[in-house]
Amino acid sequence: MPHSVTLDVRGEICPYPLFEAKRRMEELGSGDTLEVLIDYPLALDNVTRWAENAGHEVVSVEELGASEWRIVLRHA
Amino acid sequence: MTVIRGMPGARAVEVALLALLVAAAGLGFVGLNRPLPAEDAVVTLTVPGAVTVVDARGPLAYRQGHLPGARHLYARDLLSFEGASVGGLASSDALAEQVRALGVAPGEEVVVYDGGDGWDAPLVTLVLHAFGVEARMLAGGLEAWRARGGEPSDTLPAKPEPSEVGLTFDDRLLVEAAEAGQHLADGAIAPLDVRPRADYQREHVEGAVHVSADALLPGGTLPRWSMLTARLEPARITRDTHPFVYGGDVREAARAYLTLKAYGLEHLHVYRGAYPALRTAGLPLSQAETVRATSERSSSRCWR
Amino acid sequence: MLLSGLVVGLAFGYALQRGRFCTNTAFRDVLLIRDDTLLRAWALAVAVQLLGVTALAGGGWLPVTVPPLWLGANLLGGVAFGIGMVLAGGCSSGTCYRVGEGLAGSLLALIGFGVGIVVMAEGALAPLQEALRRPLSTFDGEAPTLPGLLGVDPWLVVLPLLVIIAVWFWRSGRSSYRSGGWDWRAAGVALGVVGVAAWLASSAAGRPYGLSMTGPLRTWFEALFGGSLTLDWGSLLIVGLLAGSFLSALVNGELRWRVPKGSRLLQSGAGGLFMGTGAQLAGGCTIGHSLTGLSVLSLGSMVSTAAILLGAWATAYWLFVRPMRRMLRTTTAPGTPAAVGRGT
Repeated sequence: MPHSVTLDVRGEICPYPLFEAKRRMEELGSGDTLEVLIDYPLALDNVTRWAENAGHEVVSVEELGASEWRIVLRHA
Repeated sequence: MTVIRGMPGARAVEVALLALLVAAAGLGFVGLNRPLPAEDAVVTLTVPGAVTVVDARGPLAYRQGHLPGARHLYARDLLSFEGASVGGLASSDALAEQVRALGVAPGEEVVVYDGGDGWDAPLVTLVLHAFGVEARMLAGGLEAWRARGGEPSDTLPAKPEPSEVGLTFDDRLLVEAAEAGQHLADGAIAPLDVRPRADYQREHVEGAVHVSADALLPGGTLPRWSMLTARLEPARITRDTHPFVYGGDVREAARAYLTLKAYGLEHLHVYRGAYPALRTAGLPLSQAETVRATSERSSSRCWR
Repeated sequence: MLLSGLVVGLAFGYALQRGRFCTNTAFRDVLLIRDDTLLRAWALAVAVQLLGVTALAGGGWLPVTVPPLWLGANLLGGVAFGIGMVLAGGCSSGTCYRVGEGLAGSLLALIGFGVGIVVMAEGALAPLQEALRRPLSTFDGEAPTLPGLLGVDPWLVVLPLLVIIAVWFWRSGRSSYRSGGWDWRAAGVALGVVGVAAWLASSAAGRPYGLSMTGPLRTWFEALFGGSLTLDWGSLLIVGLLAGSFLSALVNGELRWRVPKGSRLLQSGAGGLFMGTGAQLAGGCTIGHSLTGLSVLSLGSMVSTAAILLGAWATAYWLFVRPMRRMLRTTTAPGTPAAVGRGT
């Protein structure tokens, strides 16, 4: 049964969004999804780039408002 | 607040910023490279016969070829080779004799030139200035004049009539060490060291700022406008400064003098001797990078 | 000509924000996620400036000042700066452009930065700066550069460097995900062009250097602490930078007031203090040394940049990599299907 975890790192300073996303991902298993809420443009680049490099799937990136995004990742 | 969303708005801002940036860079480039307006001290072309021309090079070079009608005054003949004043100027009386023999008088227009590397002509120009003669240096010397189509002649002109007019020496322009020491103590003048940077760092007059004579007259020609400003501003030298210019020897100081005069500085004082004599005269010396007179901050700051 | 500082600052701030250009992130990402995209952007910016400045200086059209080499000061200051920028979550320019975006943490870091500079320049730490800067290394009477040390024409150093950088870029993969900002190539070129323009405009205004943050910020903070404000090219550059990044964030919909929790604010402030003291001691930051100073191949800047890298990596390792490794070791049980260490 795939897990789904939401991580809200809005307001966090660099590089905590990435760090926390990475950390949570390690706790999940294959097929689980991690939903990351960020409000920082650089984090958007970082998190997606990391996810790609690590082999995870970037399921979707949704803009929630001015400089606010929800990134959905699926563990490889 | 309203947010201009979408690409078109951002694009317009980006284009505008790029245009402004290019304009700033372009203006900077042009400003850096416009020629120094220097009518007081340097001339770029001369028609022999229209003014009195003086060749500052050695006798052999002069005899082999000079500007037609040019008189001769070897810069080296203005120097002293005696004991303590080696590297500095000869006595004021000896200088006056040389200038008188040249047949020029105060108020007369003279153009001085050398081969083009700027070691002989500035010194002769400086000494002529000290006697009130309106001398100017030919930019680029004989080389440049030839490049513009001039044909040197080897006909020796008739020996000039020594000038009868009395020559007064301006001792505010060319100062002795003791006097300099006094003015420095009073704070009336700001010392400017124009020797190579390594010499400056080893030891210099206390409170002196540094600009190398080489940078001030690169290759014997005047630097471009803001290239000079870029060198002088960090040393806090402005038109209102009263710099006291000293070099390893007086020829070095003369080079710097010429450019500073061309730049528009009016209150120039040049040390007529060589650096070692400043030491023996007891001027306060230091090794520390200098606190600039008009700034409250400490030194070493440009590399921020 | 002073106003050009404002113009260059605007372009600088805009390009920083749009290009997400942060040397801190560039250095740190290599360690944290094995990604060198931003590092490439930085290298490209240095390369463009190298090319431009060497050509202009070689033609005699630009007077060049080289940041000096004070070995002790460069090393200690660089390490301190590296530590600070990881703590603060941004380097000097990164912090400034994030203030324009509305990050409260970066605002605190900026204040810490300024205070740090003043403390090192004329406060309690000033004797340290004086002591470490006394042994000034010169080569032939001038600040040492790499070509000067090797005794060769600058182009003989610049051209091989450019080739190496080009090969590195060519061999890098492409990221398939396109972010909302500029890609690394555009960011690198833009910053490089702004850098060259800065050299020209600043020199014409009587300040013979390029982009830098430490000196200009010092001018502002000294004024804040009761001095008088000198409106020079550098001070206008900072104003332009803040305005430009604000403008960029506004126009691209990324402006937002973001406040982290208390401990992060403290961390940012502390990081700023480290950055300020380090930058002032070393005589430059990731912009003054690692961008502008490298473009004139200054040895002092090379030493400082290496020291910054060291400080940043050590701090990033301690704060981010080590906890991850420890966590991985404790959460991995034999038989867990989760791929351990995958993508670390």
